[in-house]
Amino acid sequence: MTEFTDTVKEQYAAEVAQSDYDHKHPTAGAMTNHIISNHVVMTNRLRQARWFVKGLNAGQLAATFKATGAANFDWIDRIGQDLLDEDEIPANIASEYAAWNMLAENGEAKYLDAAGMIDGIIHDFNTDNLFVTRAIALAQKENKPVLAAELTALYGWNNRQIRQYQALLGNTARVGLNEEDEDNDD
Amino acid sequence: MKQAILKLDGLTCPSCMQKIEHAVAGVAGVQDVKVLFNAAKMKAHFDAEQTDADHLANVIQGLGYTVESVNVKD
Repeated sequence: MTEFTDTVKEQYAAEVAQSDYDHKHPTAGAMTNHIISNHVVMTNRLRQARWFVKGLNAGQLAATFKATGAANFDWIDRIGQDLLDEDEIPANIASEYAAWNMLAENGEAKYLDAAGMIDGIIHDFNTDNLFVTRAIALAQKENKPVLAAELTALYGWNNRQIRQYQALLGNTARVGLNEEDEDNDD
Repeated sequence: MKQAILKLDGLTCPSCMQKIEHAVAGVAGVQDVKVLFNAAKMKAHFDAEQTDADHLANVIQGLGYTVESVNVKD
């Protein structure tokens, strides 16, 4: 078993303390680590859908899920590299992904029909965008234009996935996704 | 029941807003807590004999988050 030196343990303890502080006083790096975690979990959801989708169009849908999953995997690496370029530490272990993602991962989803699987994927991309828009604003505030640009491109890609998967359900892009705030209470 | 509308920092992390929602839901006299992620708002109905909106704001601030404004509706 690998023995970690005191220096290595101290480095990691300092990283965890800084990460906790950055989260409460949100930074682009902390918010982007939520995004990476979301996309790692998204990879699992897309693989789950590919493996378990049923119905007459199952083969075609499985190919679509596979293509989205491959593109999603590339985004994880792109965003992670951007964080490294900014001297930030991208999430890289399972416990971080579990703690920082906000998607609706569950085992029951494998038993959904194809439309239910697609609806779940759409909502995951929409949830991810809550973090992406905040991370873009924070990157701009912190004068990190490359990170902001990359996150803006990711926002566009997420929106494209939402629109294309909504189309499979016969919907336009934002059906069932917009937040309702009926009151003018600001 | 009255309704408290708390505006949070617009950059508050969405998963933190969920934690805030759970903390407020645990306050005695609070019902129907709802988080509006994009608007960075939390709405909750409360029994004015058991708690008040300022206490709910204090609960959130005690967790380390910023509350930008507090409104109450009858």
